[in-house]
Amino acid sequence: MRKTVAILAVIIALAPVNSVSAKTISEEQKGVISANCSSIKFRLQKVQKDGPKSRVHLGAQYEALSTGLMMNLNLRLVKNDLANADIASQQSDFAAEREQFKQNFISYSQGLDDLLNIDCRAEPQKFYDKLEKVREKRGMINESISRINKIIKTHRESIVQLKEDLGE
Amino acid sequence: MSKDSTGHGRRNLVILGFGALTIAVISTAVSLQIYRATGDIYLDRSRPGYISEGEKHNEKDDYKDIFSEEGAITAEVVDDYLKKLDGIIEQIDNASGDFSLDAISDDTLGIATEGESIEELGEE
Repeated sequence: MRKTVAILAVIIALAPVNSVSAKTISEEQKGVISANCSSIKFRLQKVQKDGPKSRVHLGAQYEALSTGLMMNLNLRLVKNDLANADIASQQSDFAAEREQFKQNFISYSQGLDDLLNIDCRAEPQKFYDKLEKVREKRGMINESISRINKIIKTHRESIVQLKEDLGE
Repeated sequence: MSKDSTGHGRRNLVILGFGALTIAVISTAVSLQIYRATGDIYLDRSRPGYISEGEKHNEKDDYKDIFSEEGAITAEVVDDYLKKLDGIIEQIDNASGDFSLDAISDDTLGIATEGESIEELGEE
């Protein structure tokens, strides 16, 4: 009994947190969504089709950077007794963030699939709520890309520093 | 062979056929569900229609030869690394905006209305 009360208390406590992200759209906007449902879905399908191409293209560059450059450079540094802790940690940070990027892409794609399965003509509010969630997930992909770009920038700075050190 | 045993045999054959079909349908449904739930469906480049053949061929698959793990480390070698790194950074920069939120904004999707009024719930 006590356990049930505790669970209910947690649910009640979390309820307002969830409703913060809920948005209600105007009747006018609901009408626009219902009336333009087909064209909205057509645009979203185009976005859905472009996503994998972008991911594959970015993924190929990330792979080239990780496997072709970072990993080989670290191995070469070790073999020359010049192991660099910063450059080594950049490689592992990069790998971790790439995995995050992949997971964010999966989550976003699942959300987009679910969004396209909603009948926006009949359920504009539900459609818009889901659209907001998809935007949030797309935003997470962007954040991942930004973090990866930051790691690459730091890596480049380390390489410039290494070049200067070797040139002296 | 009696008529009775022939009838039994036919019935067993039908049961076997339907049984096999049912198992095949269930296992395919479960496999597809797993394929989707794990997210592999969104990463599988071999999926028909996912990425065109031309786009697949444009990808560079042999990354190991970009920079050798063997040899000395000199300023010239690091300079060569830097040039290769800059080439990849340029490609990444060009593609980094592909997931911009503009592509699914209200304006782009044609959802925005004049004097758009979206009330935030739960903020009060």
